[in-house]
Parts: sequence; structure tokens; C-alpha cells
Amino acid sequence: MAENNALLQVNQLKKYFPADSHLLFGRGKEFVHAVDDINFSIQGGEVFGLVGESGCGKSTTGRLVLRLIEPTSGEVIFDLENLFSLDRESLRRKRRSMQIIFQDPYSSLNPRLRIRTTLAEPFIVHHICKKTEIEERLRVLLETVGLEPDVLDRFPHEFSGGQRQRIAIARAIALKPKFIVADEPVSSLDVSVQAQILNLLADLRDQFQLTFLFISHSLPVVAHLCDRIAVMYLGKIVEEGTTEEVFTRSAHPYTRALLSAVPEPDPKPKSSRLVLRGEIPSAVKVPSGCRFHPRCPIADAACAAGEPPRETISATHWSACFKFKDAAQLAIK
Amino acid sequence: MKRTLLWNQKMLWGSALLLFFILVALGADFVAPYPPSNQYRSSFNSAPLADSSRPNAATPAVRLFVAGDSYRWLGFVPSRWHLFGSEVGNQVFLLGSDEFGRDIFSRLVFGARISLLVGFLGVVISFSVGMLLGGISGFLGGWIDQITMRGSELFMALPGLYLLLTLRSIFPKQLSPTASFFLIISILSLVNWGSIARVIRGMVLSLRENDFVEAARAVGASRARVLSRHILPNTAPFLVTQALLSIPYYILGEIALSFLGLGIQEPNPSWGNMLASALDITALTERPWILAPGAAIFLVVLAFNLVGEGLNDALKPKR
Repeated sequence: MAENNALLQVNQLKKYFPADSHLLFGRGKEFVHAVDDINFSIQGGEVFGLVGESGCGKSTTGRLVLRLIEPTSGEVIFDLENLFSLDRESLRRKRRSMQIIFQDPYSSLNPRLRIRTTLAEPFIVHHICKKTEIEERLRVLLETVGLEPDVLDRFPHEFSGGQRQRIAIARAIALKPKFIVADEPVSSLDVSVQAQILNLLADLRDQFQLTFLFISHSLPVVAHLCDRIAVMYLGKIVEEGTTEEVFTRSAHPYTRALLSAVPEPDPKPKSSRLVLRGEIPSAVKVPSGCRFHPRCPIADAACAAGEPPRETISATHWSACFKFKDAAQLAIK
Repeated sequence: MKRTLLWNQKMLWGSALLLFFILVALGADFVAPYPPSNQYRSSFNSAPLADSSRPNAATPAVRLFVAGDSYRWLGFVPSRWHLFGSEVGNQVFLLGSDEFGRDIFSRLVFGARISLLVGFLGVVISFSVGMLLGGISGFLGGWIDQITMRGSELFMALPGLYLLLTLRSIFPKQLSPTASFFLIISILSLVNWGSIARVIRGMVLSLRENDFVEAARAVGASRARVLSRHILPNTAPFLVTQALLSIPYYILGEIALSFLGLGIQEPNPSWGNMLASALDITALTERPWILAPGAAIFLVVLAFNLVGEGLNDALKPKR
């Protein structure tokens, strides 16, 4: 993979949150391994999907790559600069070219501010244009996301979820960024609205040559928009490949279980669904070896002993599984 | 719809009472028939509505809207009209006169001005300080947070009244009336900022986890902007009720200091130093009306509590 001209490159990124285990005597020595040594890169113009269950660390990853939270270690090279070595003012300027869309449009808009104030904020904090020009810019911006100019004078509580998400998207694209983290942008919306928002994001990608890190727990949503996909489990990326490779030739038992769990509009019961045992383990006491082994249908003693390396399947496809050949044979339908 | 929800019974009675006190305090020069420090040497310790010049006669003639002593309203507007009074050369003491021959009613009315001003200014000062320090403390965390919180605990751990007395005793006893007035307000604010800072800090800690705060940071808003535009305004509903409910604290604080002779000094009127004359049991039994400031205190505190609680009820999420 040509990693040298990547827009975003993530190297050995880790985020451990301290887990207060002691009631009286401060912090214990335990940590939540939210993101544990992950690596990936995103090319300009690409939509990179990050999928996994809730609690696997995908939202933490999204916040880390924008440096909204500080990492435990590792680097994020964005546009040839390591975000974590920037001082506060350089980082603030850098934010013009990277943005985020949050999952819940009910909490991502300040309830006390009119839409005009929320949307004008990017222009004001970066001194983009004169105050008198902002109004015209906002009008164009709203048109881009399919809203009428009269929304400007209203408050967030006057809008539906879909409309709010359009407003949040308008804020994200206001400064014409290169890169957007979309953190489950449709998960809290009605199914009918989901498609509209996904289409809007696809249009915006084409119109502004946007690069996306698209975070989702829903494989069909990811398939709709993404060029490449990484699957995360308990703080680690377990498989990465093009959308087509992950959907048709996945070589990790966890990915296959996720694919198997996708509901299908077929009333006939599936004969051989791949159902996982147990719950996702605690991120504080992570399992030894391969983190997936306690729930894996094909795990053996070796899986519990050592951490699986990246097994290359093609130039764009790898799986972190000792038994990736067996995994690829697991029936999912 | 929203309007009717806001106006519950408590709010209605509380704000009516409060409005009455505010109007009386604002128009004190007009409502009071005499200047508060004027001594009428012919009528020491007279009973309510007794005629000083004719001890055995009935009630003196009370007239509405009489021209009496001239004054400048709020220091600017010259006038000599009073709400009521009696004919020239004669005084009407609605609540009697004190041992120096001063009209108790007039002193009560001017005392309302002092009490309300102490309440409002005290709340504004300590809430501004508490909001600023608590906001910064919660938002930035780290050593700034530690220092601010330990400081607030220091003030919260010491018993309020002793702290007030100690702080007051640091300063010279004889001060100009204005200086001692602002000294009282500063001391009361200093004692009370800590608890407000702590509550604001807690709210900031929870508010800053909101997505809209993170979104503002992602857009590139500076820390000062995030705090002042996105976090602190969202503490407003709580602050308003809390401010109303804590105004009585400042009013009572000034009264306590003045009662002990450390606040507003004679001959300037304050409900506190007026009550000091009720310390004498003979005076109290012979002239119970010198307790009038006590009734005023009760009503003012009640008014603020009613409005504060009413607002609290109105803003509480409905089920």
C-alpha cells in the first residue's frame, strides 16, 4: 500500500483510561485498554470504514485522530504533520481542515444557541470572512445540505433528528475541510432518514473530494459508502481490506460473525448462523493472546498463548488470526 | 402555555411581595415622611401615631402627598413631596419613634434600601467570582482545580459568623458609611463564593462531556470561547434559582453584623442596628413596635424564598 502519500496515518496509537479500582486509596494500577496499538492509513479522497461492537474503541479512535482527546502513546500524521506534536494554536488552525460529525444530533448542537450562531462559529473563530459576508456563506452552506435559509433563526429543539444531523453536517463542512470523522452519523436516526443522510454524505464526498473516517457498528451502512474497511475488536484492529474483500472473503472469525449477524429480509430461518458465545470481555482485564479467543469458534491453545500477527491475504487485505485460512471457510449463511 | 407553567402560586405571591419591597426601597425618600436620621427632640420613644405636641389628643391629622423635607431622589432628582405626612410643625410617627426621637417607619423604609442592595450586590459579586473560578477550575482541571477547590473548602469549613467577625475585625472600626457598606458586601461575598464555585465546577465537569462542547473544540474555538459561549451559559437556569435563594443569606449577614455594631453604623439606618435597641427588655416590653424590622426581615426572606422555590418548581423537568 502506498502509505507515503496518505492524508492520515495512524501509528501505534494507544489510549488507556485509568480505571479507578480502589474505593479509598486513589488510582489502582488498572487501565481500560480502549485503543491498544492500532495502525492504519487513509488516502486522500477515500472513505475508510471502522466497524465493531459498542465499547470496542472505535469512537475513541475517532476522537484521537482529531486530537480531541490526548493519546497514551503513538502518533497521528495528518497532512504530513504529527497532530500530537503541535502546540495549541497550530492545532487550532489545523482544525480548519479536519472535522467531526457526531452520532447524536440531539446533543451535538448547543441547545441555547440559534442555528445561525452555531453555524457562524467556524467562520468567526478562524476569521474566514467579514461579518457581513457570513450571512451569504450560511445561505450557501444550508443549500448544500438541503435546508432552507429560515432555519437560521430557530433553535435546535425545533428540528427533527434528520434536520439536526443536516445542520451538524453543515457545521462540519463549513470550512471546506479535507477530512471528516463521521462517528456513527446515522445510528440514532430513523431508517428512512438514514438513507437520506448517507446519500448526502456521498454527494458531499464527490462535490468536495472529502476524505472520511466512517465509524459505524452497522456493516450494511459501511458497505454503502466505504472504499476500505477495518474491523475493530476490544481496542485492536483484527482485519482490514477493501469493502469487497471484507464482505466476500473475510478471513477473521469475528468479521464473519458480524457478517452473519446482519439481518436479512428473508423469512426463512438461516440454517447455519455463526453465533458467538458469551459477552464482549472487559477492556480492563483483556484476554491473553488473541483477544477474541474466548469467544472464537475455532480457537485452540496457540490462540490463548500468543498475539496473532498480521497475516497478509492480498496487497490490501490482512487478518490478525493464526487460523485465517480456517476462518475464511466458516459458514456464515 | 409556557407562561402559565412559569407562574405558579409561589412565584405569584413571592414576586408580588418582592416587587413591593423593591418599589419601597427605590422610592424610600418619597415613601418615608422624614429623613432617617432626623431627630425630633420633643418626641422620644413615642407610640405609633401618637401626637407629640398634644400628648392627650387623638391621632394627628395624616394627609397624603404632602410637601415636607426636600431631598434628591437617588441623589439626583430634587423633590420635597412625600407619600404622607401631617400638617406643618407636627410629626406623624406611623411606627412610633426611637430613643433618639427618630421616626421608626422612615428608618425601616431606608433600611430596606440597604438590605436589598446588600443582597443584590453580594449575590452578583460572589456569583461572578464563583462562576469564573468554578468554571475555570472544572474546565482546566489539574493544579488550578486543586488550588481553587482547597481554597473554597477553607472558607466553607470555618463557621460563617465567626469568619464574618474575624474578617470585619481586620479592618478599622470607624469607616465612612460607604466604605463600611462595601466592606460588608465584600466580606459576605468572600465567605460565600466557595460553595458556588464548587457547584459550578461540578456542572462544568458534566457539561464539558457534551458533544456540542467537543464539536466547538473540533471547530477550533479557543478554550475561553468554549467556556464562555458553550459551557457557562448552560448553567444559567440553575444559577438564577440559586442566586434568588441565596440573597437572604447576604441580607441576614449584613443584619447580623449591623446588630453587633460592626456593619452599618449609627446614625445610618439598617434593620440590624435598629433591632439592637430591642436588646433592652424594658424597652421591648414597653414599646413592642421596635421589633418592626424583624417583621420586615421575615417578609423579605420569605419573598426571595418563594420566588426562588417557585422558579425551581417551574424549571424542574415535568414527568
